[in-house]
Amino acid sequence: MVVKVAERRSGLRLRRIVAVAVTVVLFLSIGIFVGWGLLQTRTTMVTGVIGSEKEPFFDDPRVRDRFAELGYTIEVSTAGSRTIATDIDLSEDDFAFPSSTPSAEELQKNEEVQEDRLYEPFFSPMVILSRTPVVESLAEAGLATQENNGSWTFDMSAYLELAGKGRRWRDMPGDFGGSNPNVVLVRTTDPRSSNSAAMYLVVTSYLLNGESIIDTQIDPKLVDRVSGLFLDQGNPPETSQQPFKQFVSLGASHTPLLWAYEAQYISAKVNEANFPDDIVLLYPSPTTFSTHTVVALNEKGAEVGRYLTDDSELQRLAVEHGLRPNGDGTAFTDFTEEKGLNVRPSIDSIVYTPTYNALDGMLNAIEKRYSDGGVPPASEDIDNAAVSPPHSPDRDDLEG
Amino acid sequence: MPAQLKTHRGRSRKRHIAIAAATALAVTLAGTSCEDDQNGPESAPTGPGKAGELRILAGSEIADLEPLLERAEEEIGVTVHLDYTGTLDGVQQVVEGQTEERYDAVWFASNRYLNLYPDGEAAVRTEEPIMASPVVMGVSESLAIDLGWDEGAEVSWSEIASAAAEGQLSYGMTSPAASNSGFSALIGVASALTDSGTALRAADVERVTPELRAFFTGQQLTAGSSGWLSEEYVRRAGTDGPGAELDGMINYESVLLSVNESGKLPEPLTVIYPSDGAVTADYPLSLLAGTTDEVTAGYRDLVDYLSSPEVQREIMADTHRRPLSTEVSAEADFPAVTELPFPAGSNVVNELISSYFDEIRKPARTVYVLDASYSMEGERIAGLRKAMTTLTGGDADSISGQFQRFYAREEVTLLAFDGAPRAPETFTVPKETPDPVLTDIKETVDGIGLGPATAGYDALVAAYDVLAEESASNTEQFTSIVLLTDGEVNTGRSLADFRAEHADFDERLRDVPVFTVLFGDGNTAEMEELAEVTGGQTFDARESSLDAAFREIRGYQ
Repeated sequence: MVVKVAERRSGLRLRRIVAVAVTVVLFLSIGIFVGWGLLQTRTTMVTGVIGSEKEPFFDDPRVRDRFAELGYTIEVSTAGSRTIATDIDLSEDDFAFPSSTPSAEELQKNEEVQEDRLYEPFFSPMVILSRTPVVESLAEAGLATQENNGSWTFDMSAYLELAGKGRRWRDMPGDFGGSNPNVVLVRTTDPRSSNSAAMYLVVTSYLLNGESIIDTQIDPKLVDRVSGLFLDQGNPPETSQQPFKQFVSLGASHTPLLWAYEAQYISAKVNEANFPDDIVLLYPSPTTFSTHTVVALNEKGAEVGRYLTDDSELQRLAVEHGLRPNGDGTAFTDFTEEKGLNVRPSIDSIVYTPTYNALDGMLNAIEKRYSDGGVPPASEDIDNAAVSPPHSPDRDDLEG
Repeated sequence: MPAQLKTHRGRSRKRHIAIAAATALAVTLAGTSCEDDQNGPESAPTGPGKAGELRILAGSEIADLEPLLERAEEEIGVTVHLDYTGTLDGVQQVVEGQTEERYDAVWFASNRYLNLYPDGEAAVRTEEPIMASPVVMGVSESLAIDLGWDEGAEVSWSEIASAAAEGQLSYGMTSPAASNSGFSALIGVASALTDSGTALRAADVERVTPELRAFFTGQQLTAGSSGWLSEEYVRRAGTDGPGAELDGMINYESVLLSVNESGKLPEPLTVIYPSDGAVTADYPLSLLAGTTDEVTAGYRDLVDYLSSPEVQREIMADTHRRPLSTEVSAEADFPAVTELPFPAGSNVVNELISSYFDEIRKPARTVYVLDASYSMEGERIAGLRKAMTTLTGGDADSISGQFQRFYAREEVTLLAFDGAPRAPETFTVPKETPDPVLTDIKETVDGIGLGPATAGYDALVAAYDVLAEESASNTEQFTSIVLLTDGEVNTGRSLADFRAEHADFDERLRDVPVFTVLFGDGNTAEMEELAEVTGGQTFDARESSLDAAFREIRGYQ
């Protein structure tokens, strides 16, 4: 049966959610409860709906075993983070686990969940993946810089300026471009449905809005510019895993630059045989975080949230899936060092997310461009002054 | 664990019990041929899906995976039922909800067209690309050397267009309205020639039309499927039979490599990877919304099986498609291809396809030889009228119907017969305001009265006579004859008589294919022979409808 689900979205709202503190009383009571559960030699079934990128984590037998030790069997279904926030009947679920703070907050509002029932066990910075010959070209053009620790920085403002001018790969320095006629554009997922692409919008809209987080006043010229970044790529992939697979298997000529979760890279690099050596991880400056947030819908869901946040074994397993624990970061750095990954211990150039309404308004405007069949006819029709990227950003605003 | 039917878009309940393997029954893979209707006798039953079974509506490109899919039953306990359809017809079925309760999954060469329609996108719950193949150009080795296109030379689509415009390169390509390879090629060529560096926009289509026209002057063969195109290319490369030999074809890299490997060509094809890019098919196996947990489990098992390094290696070796598993991709050795962006809006794509048929490619010249004997009375003549109504634009609202109508500049001759051929009536569809002419065609078909006896071959010769009087050469039009008869030819020439006459036709007429329709009590063996002799093809309307058969024939006209 085909059910047409209305396009509704959650939004992203900047607000830090305090989730780490769990009272000793509660903790003890869970312990007693779990102990009781183990005595019964039966596990408690807990069901939840999660962002699809966390499916491998919940699928991992070690994660399932650990939950079983703790007395739980977790049954999950997957959905896009925005769909989770607004479109899903959660009456049978104990928790929801979207991949962004704003989706979680929208859900919290819609489901009237207490704030202390939100847990942020781990997060993943948004990154750009590329290949050595492409990165060499980017470096020569001043878009990519290698830091002293060996990790790469991708200059988002310089990139937006280049893309805004319609610079082609064939006109880029270095050997990669060849006859490639495509404009230098980062490949993303579908902003209408995918969290990863919404994270891209958070960063690009901030920069193109004169380094200012967008509000509900929608500037049509800004819409022109940001929707171009999506529509010029053409028909977008539906899930974040799809373009990742194509990027890895079909090479730089197919996808020179990919917007991805850092966790996707780490997990594939560590777990997949023959992961290509020439794949390069770049940190956009600025970037943003995908904050995986458990929204507990009842006490069982809250227990899952607490264990994911506090159980060192589950946190360790999350690290092996490339996720960064929100509390103590040592497990993550230890792991990436052990695996010899060129991953930054901390990310210091972060854009905070706009309010739910601001981002939703922008996404609606972009959606309209898709349904109208494209951005305005040609770039010459657009006021160049307005679509040029803002002056180069003042890093001091972003760091810290 | 009770089965829970989830109807939320994008939501799939995860299984914890391997149900599929335990309950699978031994049922063989039910593949039906390309021409069969989806309701054919071998099709899977309708109703909700079953554990251990997956009913897939597939593009005909998937057919070469049948051996692997048959093994899936032994290895993972999932029985796969495959029904085949053309790209746009398949999209149409999904968008209109006709796949509900009939299919659990769809598997086309690409979901790009499907995703342009909100209802199509919403109908798919999850999708997983299984393998990849870019749509590129194959050129006979000697011509590639002559043109300096050998040894990995950089060749752009505009250089290919120049060679075509100068008459140096004739090629075949499938119909963009029937097959994904032609569709991808049209998008790719249009993007490359537009050279905007971004996905095509509606305004680009008009601007690039003159260059596309130059490119498509080289197209001397159209086809409804990439498989038939490659068979026909191989046949024409041989010494015998109708149809001019072609210099090349646009097809999947995998098809070009397979043809070369088959050793059936007198000289191999040099695969040209255009330096300005191509559009790649990624064959997403797509679970439809509304499937049960058990069916979803089977889908996941099948995806895992097909994505496993062993099977990916086999796919690469047997079908020459590019693997999409990290492990196996590292072992693969395929040339790099720049991916051209696929348009983001259905209006751009639809406008491009319309322009292709109405303005860009050479026009069609079609003669319909239609049985008007008494045996056609009742449902049969009604079916014929319905089929012709579709072609005159009566189905313009449907996704596929809008591209299967008679095209602008197309010349259509209706030649009815009973005991003798009647007077042919010819119509030319104008570019501007085609409706009055389309109405005339429809009314002419509606006005066909029935008479005694069936002089099929006399009528066929009369059809060739009509074409003989015209001056246009085959290189200026896609000329073909459609023969519909529902009974034995019982008066006038026999097939043997026709064959003798056909052998003496001048080359231009001999190259005109006859597409025969198997219908009613027509003589199947004779219709097949006739198609073979003339370089045509048979279309089966016995188990489907004349409407479906006539629409399928459009891919070849």
